[in-house]
Amino acid sequence: MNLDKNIRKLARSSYYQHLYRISKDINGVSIFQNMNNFSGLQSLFLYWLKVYNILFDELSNKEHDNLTSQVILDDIRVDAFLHYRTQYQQKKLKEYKQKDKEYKLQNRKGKNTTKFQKFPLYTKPSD
Amino acid sequence: MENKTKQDEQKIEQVKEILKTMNTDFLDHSIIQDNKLYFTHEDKSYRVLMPSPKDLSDAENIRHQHYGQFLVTEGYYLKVVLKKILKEKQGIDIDELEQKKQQINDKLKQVFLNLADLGTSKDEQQIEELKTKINKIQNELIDVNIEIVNYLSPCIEDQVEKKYVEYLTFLCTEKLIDRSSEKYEKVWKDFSVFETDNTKLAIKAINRLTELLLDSREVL
Repeated sequence: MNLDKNIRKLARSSYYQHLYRISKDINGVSIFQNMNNFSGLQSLFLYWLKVYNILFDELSNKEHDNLTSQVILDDIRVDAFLHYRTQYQQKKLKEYKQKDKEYKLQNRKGKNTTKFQKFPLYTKPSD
Repeated sequence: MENKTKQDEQKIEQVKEILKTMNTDFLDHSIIQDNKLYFTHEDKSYRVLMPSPKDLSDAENIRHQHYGQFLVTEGYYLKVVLKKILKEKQGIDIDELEQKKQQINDKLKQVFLNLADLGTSKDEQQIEELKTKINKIQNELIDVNIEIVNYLSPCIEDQVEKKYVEYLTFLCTEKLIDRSSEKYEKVWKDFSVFETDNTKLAIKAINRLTELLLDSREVL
């Protein structure tokens, strides 16, 4: 539907990207005329606003070799990049968990450990 | 399963035409600036509003009423029963169609990943080829979805959903009566008046409200 295409165009526009950044810093600057009961279109717009904000940040930090400004301007290429990004993040998380596990194992070896024993409670000697 | 009748193909084409009419090719901020959508019909201005909690509660009551009525009415079936009837009497396996949808989705994901790998590539032709392939697969997915929806639309769940949306449309559609003071009033005084409205206005209003609600439907 063209509605989705148009919402994405609005979300990645410099006007709304600037407004989004400013609204985070300055109280009272709001993106919408209504402050509650947001429509489905508004919530979809907020989703894409955040997504494009992240993409522009990652582009300026050169976090991914396959992210360019041409990619960001093309809806299909953005969808493709988001699929890749999800896979990339899952892979990174898996690698981090594995490294963390190995680090813990390595640090456990050769260290003094404390053994806790259960002692009987004091009982009064019988007469 | 593959024996789609001409009637089925005609139905699919009709649904595609309706989807096309819902496409509004405009880029204006009004679709997101407020929780209302404006439209015109026969040179008159209208708007649909986001439903209030009371509107939602009233529409939910209508949904429950119709659900109870349909359950006891001959010829109305729940989705699970309709699926069984379609399979046993018509040889149409909805579960198989859902599996086909999943396979198309997996194929689509793979092509997306192939396109993502071409990020900085200067090979425009390869990029365009993959984009064309993606569009083709997405159209295949839409066709399967329309097929499933068409087969299951007579089920009770979809019929009560239709009543729910129609009732919300009746509650949330207003027409402009005074441009200078921006005064609006409800289009239909009663739900029965809305139900008997055969003009394109009712259909347009339903379409606009469906657009307005969009993702929020999962929460509502």
